[in-house]
Amino acid sequence: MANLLELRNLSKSHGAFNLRDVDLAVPAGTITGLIGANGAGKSTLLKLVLGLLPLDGGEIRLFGEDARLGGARLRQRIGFVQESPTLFPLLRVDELGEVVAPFYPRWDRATYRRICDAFELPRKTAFARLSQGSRMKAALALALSHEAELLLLDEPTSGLDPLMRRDLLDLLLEVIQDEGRAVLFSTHITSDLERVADHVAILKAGRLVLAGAKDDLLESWALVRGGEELLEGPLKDRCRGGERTELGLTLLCEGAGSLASLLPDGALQERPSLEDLVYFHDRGKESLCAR
Amino acid sequence: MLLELLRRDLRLHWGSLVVPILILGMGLGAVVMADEGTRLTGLILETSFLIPMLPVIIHQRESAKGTLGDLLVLPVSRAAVVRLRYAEVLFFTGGLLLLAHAAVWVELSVAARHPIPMSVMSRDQFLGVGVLLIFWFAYPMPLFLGWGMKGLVVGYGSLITLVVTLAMTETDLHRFIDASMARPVAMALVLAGLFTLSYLLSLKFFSRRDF
Repeated sequence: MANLLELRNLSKSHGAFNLRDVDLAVPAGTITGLIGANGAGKSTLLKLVLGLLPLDGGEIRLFGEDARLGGARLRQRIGFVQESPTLFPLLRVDELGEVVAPFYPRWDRATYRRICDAFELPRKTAFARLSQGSRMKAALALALSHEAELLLLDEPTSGLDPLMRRDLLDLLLEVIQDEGRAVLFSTHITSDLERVADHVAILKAGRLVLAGAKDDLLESWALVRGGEELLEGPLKDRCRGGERTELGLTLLCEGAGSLASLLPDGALQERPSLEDLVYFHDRGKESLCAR
Repeated sequence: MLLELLRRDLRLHWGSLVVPILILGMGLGAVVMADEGTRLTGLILETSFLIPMLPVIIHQRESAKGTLGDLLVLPVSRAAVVRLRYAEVLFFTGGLLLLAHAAVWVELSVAARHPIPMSVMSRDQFLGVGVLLIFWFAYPMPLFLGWGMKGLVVGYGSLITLVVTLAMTETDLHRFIDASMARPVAMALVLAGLFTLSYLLSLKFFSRRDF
């Protein structure tokens, strides 16, 4: 599978925030989830890809080309949806399509109408009068009507009700049925990614702490629960974060397949969720882990 | 691309342009009613102060509403946005001067005065429009595109300070202006050069901005 997007050693200082040494690939035919707490750097990363923020260092390759050289031409092949689409509040849904269409050689008016109808969007209503969910749908309709090969979605499900969220996720699965397309989808709602993502990348404070195929990650990490004796054995070397509560210790350990022999009596090993990976990775590392 | 961007701006921002265009329209009335010798002086001054405001109004409105980011997410380069702003000032200036000419030609036709001149503006008046556009548009624009409203305030602030300082000192500004106007080709080339320099600086500053 060719990579539609590759980030190499990406870095950016933006006010007090620093994005450092991010390496990430988004292969065609996949949905990649970018997970992180608010302020972790998800939006900054997407803005760098879109050229809204100039790079401090590193390289972005879009469709195999240097994004800095390809610029606007490469953006013809990208569809972008942001968390709170601003677009043009006074324009009606059908007018939005007319304003955007001239900039995309592959714009398909019929597709735009079809998607708007499928989303049950009132085409004669001003964008400002749409609900949050409908605004998101309108932005998605714009992103999907020019045969975008790479969809970049910044927190598309926040603010949507559960039914609409499910519809959106189904739509993304439909998009990647065409194996030449890919989706990079930032969110802090990990349950969305559990359902649809093939790959995940976890950002914390501007650093990419984990990245890879979702199933591989979930298979290779484990949560170990037990008492203080967890820290006395070789398990400590495998620990990458954890938490001490009144009930005992919870450690996030790597190398799940070979942990069983290292567990003290009474310790429990569990498969983590994506949320566990985000929550526990690097948490309390200095006091609990060997490195 | 430039035409599409211009059409987009007119479509999205016509509401913000109504008041300045009305003021310019009232200027056209003054043109028709004024004496022949001075009929365009007021309009030229009005043009030079108001026209540079139109691209600034559009750009600032886009910035404030967050739609500038939406525009740059489209397959539109930053260079195209800068080109658009410079094209807009020429488009609005050219449009207004054409309208002024049309108004005067109509007035002369109605009054049955002959012959009707090809241009109701003198060469010096054309150069005057160019000089004022350089001062009021090309000088502050790189600062505005690079640093937003703060840049614009610094641009206009420093310009006004310069003009007031020159007016208060013993500088023989009039003689300098007369000498410059006596060489229209050189003057036009200098103005075009300054306009280009301003455009290049705008490109440089705007390409570094974060959105």
